[in-house]
Amino acid sequence: MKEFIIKRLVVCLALLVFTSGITFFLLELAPGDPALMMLGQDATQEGLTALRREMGLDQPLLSRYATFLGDLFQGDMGVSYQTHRPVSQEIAATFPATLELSVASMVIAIIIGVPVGITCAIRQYSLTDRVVRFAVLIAVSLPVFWLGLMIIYLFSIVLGWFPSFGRGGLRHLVLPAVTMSCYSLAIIVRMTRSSMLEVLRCDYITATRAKGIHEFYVIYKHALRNALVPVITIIGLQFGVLLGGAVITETIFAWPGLGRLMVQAIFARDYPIIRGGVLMISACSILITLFVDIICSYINPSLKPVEKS
Amino acid sequence: MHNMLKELRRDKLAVIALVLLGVIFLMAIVGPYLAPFDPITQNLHERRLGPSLVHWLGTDEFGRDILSRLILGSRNTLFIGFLSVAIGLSIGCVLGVIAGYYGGFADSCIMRAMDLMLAYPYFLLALLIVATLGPGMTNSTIAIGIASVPTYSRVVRSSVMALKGSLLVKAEEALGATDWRIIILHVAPNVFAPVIVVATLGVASAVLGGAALGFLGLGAQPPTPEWGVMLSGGRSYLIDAPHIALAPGIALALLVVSCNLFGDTLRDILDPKLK
Repeated sequence: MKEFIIKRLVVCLALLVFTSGITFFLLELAPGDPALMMLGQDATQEGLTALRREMGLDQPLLSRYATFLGDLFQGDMGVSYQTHRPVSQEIAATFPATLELSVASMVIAIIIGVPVGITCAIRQYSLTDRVVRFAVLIAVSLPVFWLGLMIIYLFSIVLGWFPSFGRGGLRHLVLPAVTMSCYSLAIIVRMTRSSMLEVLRCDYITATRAKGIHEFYVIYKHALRNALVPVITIIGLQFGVLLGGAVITETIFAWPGLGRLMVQAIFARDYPIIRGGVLMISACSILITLFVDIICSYINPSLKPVEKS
Repeated sequence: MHNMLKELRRDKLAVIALVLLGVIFLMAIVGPYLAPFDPITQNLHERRLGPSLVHWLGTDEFGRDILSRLILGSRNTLFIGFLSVAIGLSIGCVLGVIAGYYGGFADSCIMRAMDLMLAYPYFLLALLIVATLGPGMTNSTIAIGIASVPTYSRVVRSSVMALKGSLLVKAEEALGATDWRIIILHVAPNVFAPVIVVATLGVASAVLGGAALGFLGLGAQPPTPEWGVMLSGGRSYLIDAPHIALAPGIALALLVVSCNLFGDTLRDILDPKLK
């Protein structure tokens, strides 16, 4: 098991290095002179040349990447062109908000999604199952930005139950978290239902029922454990999707997170912020995948690597 | 094909989805003849009017007829959806065929590159590409297309690999057929079924992705009528004119539901095991 985790960690590290490379080189292709962006249009030629040298822009691309990678491992992601503050500070100030929103959405999606998926599987083809399947289809098709606006209109403007923008306390979190959880909730319901259906058809479940074990234990003790592996995998993937898609929800609800910061950075061509944000989110996404792999191998021992004799 | 149509006709939801898709396509094709008003010209005297007999869906923040913008906007929304799928599909197919058919080093290289792309969440990758290319409708279309390449290449690769070991391909090889002859005449037609399913579902996510970028101001730019841009415009007037954001959102949802329903039905027909 230890060997498995170390191997996966090495793969993750390699993925992180490669994603940092892709992000770096892609943004280097982007038009515009970083020195000019920092100093503004009225900068002198001498000032520009000096800043370019200071930023290492006179160095070859590969050498710049090596410097960037070295700095990255020391937690230095460069300086924002707009605020002139270190990118790591900007990310540290906004990422907790994104994480809070994503975790809250995921908790809502899991708490509702898994039991609903199980219920649908137990009552396959019932009215409940049909209604939920239709609702799932609608939920995966609804544009999250439209859903967010409609939720604001109903719960904030018409009913006045929750604030429509900003961060601060549970009341502020409800609307953005519900909006963001909608898609993941639907995917989790769909996956739990199909996974449970598959397990419930297995012979060992029939055998367990034949033994006279209470249906509750058959479902929650015997079936759910095996049905959980694909569900946990999809939850891990959805967490990455939530982090990546947080941009939209954060923009609608003026949530001061990393996604919103990145959109503002794209408009301002503040490449260090974009680079830092993309790296942070993709690193989280990669680490979640690793974490999910480890959990799955604990839940289902057949996924563990075979020990060498 | 005949059986497929028969099965398709039996699924009522799929028929509704097809009809809806047909209506949206028709709207996109004959849009300029259908739209009652100019979708771009502003009329500041008629700002934020509610639905009426003259303006069926009301007017937006610049006094433009929402129905006309919705009709003309269908063109741009479909353009982003289909063109990005075409971009993703063509690159994905080529890479998938090379990886699946030739295997070995080429397969390892291509698939590791795809794994690397998949390390980025889909929307984040699209965002990164837009950040590189700059905001705009064409750039956002390219970004969404490139971000979807790994999905298509994986599907094509696994289908090609399954065919590679088949008797049909081995017989052709024994007859001395060239690789390209085998790929074009025998592999491609058999890969078509899974590809068309993923592509149909892909249109749905591409439409959503394109509209999301438009909504953020990174896709189509105002005053271009595009459903995401229209929603973005309506955002600031939710209190006194919620109808501005309502119509484009419903239209988007209907288009995406139709694509998803049609894609699901196609998958059920082409691969009954998944039913």
